Amino acid sequence: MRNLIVPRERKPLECFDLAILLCRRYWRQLLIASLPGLIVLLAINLNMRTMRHEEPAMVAGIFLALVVLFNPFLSTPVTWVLGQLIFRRPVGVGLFLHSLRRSLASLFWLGFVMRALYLLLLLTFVFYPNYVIEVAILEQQSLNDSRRRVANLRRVSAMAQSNWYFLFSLVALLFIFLSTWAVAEIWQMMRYQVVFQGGFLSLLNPAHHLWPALLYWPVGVYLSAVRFLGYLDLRTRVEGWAVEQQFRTLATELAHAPH
Amino acid sequence: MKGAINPGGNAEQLDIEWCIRTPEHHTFTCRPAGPLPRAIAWMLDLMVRAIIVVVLAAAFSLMGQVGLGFILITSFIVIWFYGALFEAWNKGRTPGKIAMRLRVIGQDGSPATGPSCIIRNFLILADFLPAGFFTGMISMLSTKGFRRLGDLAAGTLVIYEESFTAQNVSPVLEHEVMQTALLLPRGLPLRLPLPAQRALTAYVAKRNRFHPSRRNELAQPLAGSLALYLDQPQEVQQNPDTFICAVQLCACYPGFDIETALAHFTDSRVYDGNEKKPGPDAWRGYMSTRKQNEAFGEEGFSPVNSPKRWKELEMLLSQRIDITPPQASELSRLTRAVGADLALADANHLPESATAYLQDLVARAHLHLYHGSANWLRRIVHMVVVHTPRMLYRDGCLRLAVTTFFGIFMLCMIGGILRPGLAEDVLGRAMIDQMETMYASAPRDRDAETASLMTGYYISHNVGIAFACFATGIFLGLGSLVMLAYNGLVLGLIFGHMYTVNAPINTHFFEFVTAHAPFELMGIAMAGAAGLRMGWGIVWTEGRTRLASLRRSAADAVPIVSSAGVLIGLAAYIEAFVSPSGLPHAAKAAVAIGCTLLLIGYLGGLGYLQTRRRGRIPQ
Repeated sequence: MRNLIVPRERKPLECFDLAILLCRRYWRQLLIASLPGLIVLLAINLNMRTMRHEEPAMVAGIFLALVVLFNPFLSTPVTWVLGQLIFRRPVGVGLFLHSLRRSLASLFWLGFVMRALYLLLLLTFVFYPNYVIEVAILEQQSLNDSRRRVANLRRVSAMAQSNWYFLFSLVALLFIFLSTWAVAEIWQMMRYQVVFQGGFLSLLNPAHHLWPALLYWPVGVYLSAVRFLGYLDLRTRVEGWAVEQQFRTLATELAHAPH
Repeated sequence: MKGAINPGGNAEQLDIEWCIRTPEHHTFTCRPAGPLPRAIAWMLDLMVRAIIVVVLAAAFSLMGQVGLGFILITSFIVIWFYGALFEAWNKGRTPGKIAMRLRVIGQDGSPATGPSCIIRNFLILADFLPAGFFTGMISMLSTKGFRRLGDLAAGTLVIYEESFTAQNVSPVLEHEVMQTALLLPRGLPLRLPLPAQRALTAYVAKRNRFHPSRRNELAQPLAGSLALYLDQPQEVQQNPDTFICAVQLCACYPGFDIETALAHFTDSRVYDGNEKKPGPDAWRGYMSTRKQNEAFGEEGFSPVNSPKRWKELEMLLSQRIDITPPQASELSRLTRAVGADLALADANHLPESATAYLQDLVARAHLHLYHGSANWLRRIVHMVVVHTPRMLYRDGCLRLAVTTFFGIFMLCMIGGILRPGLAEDVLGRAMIDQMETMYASAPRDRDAETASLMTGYYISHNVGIAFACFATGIFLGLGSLVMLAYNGLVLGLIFGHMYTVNAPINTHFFEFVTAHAPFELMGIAMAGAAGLRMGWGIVWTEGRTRLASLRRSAADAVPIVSSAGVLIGLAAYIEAFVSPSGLPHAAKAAVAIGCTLLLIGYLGGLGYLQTRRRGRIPQ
């Protein structure tokens, strides 16, 4: 069975374009899959209201850090759905949970603890092995599995490569946060002038926090798709994934062909 | 909940591709660029524009007030025409696009024409609305080929420019591979299907990039099936990578004499202290003793060899200067031949590198072959003298635009005269005060420097309004109507208010606006008419698809909006040099009458003559 996407080497920017096609076709499934991420984002927003008396800049910084830290809640189920779609092999929730349970330790250490440490060091996008979710979920084997294939060894593995898409994720988040803040401020001024002739719309107003979360929802899904396609592209370049796919298809055809 | 999501087992594979079929029945694909690379290119272009403006401003600032006028005009040109000029004269590439390796082409693969470049760059204003490129982004995300409104109207496409080189795939001539190849049966090229040969060649082309362990891992599944298919013992494929390379050598290079090569290989071994190993130049030595062409053929079309004609076409396309007539004939012949090679490559499942190279070569040849003629001056004259008046003669869109603009203008002017406080209520006291202060003193003779400065200001401001009237027409023409109504309302209220204010403010005002009003107001109405025509194309399709109809109507609108731009430019010169001069009011009125007669003569007289001579253009 052919994959959903054509396996070939792409330019890095082409992954962004292809992710648009992917999100456009399966937007409903992907948005539903990312609902846990949205709930986490909203929960963070809600908690931020308790910090209303703190410095706005500090609140914004903490918000950003928490969103990045808890991003796996959004990207993990999206990656799972993308895996199903791209490899055209529907995997049940039970198998997903089984796979998740086996990779839970890796996800926790690499997805949360290491991410938090790297975030503090601001080196995340250069050194952090960000494809851990893709490997843990899609390869359906724990990173601690002793029966490793050559493709999963670090020297030839796509997982060992730097992930610049994470930088885009951070920039997108920062951009959304700042732009919603700016829009809210402009709106406040307009309301002041046009509607209320007064009043105050605080930065910590729930409406302010709702906007970044709702805006980041589709953007987070899109960036997860970009990251996933980037991972596949790296696998194609470093591990010859396209050749592997082609050879497997050919082997099946030859096995059934008359001699 | 197993299988909660149905991925669609037999659905078509996703990729960024735009398929183009040429008049010669060659089919090639190109890859449309998405929002991110285009946004980066746009930002680079923005930087280039800023640099151009700053450099010119620094140079012109030495000229005083005149220099300021030049700065305004050049800024206006850079803002509005930078993209269109670069794309029209540099084969669809602005500096930003060159840096990002992007190019604008027609959606049929032909080069982007001048009018299409103008349309797509003017309509960037509509793509920008309501803010932050919102409409353009929605359009890019929802259309095939990531096309914004400007691209849809102009029938253009922004693609990645890719460069490929014709690479002959060399066989793997390792000792173990050749020894394994000797054990394989003869006649493999006939027994092995072409897709399999293609896959093997693709693997051989890439295998050096992989770790040896990974090579065996990749080759393992196919090697087993191949051994069974070729009735080979399982021992043959102990090393799957070697086995695959050996099969590729036998299947894809039937003329290659393996025994002779192996003998030469054995002879050229060198003693390294313990045993004899192949020297580093073993293969090179073999190739020097036997001609490569003898082994692989030169003109033959095989999965591993590139014919001479590919190189010839590539050389012809790389020429910077215009080609001569014999070269054009040769280009046409080679394009047809390479197009046929591309079809063969597809049919024979040649390796991806070969088909990608041929696709690129055919696409470049197609662009070169169908490039527009250089006789642009004649076309411009034809457009101004024949096409535009013929198109505008009794044009419904022009009538609607003129009625809307001048109708609202007249109504508001009358309203402003009958109810003196109306203008202040609608426009605000600040604007009214500003107008009254401006015309409190008589329009005096401006010196040449101030006049130049004001010309620059009027051109950039008024032509900007006209282009906005045109660009917003893409929203079913409603945008143009709103813009026309808004401008009619503002101007009408100002005229009405100025009529009611005391002398000498009203005298100064009418003395100033009389001379340039006909060209300026008609220019705005014509720009609105161009926008309406474009929007009307989406509504009234005449059996075409809406997109095709939009492209046609947008192309029709280009001469009209260009004429509007010229009119407003002329109005700006009159406004800068005649309107504020010390000429008597009667002289200025004479200028206005002259301009009106010219307009009537152009739109009515010339339009009537051209329509009578050549027939009416279907509306």
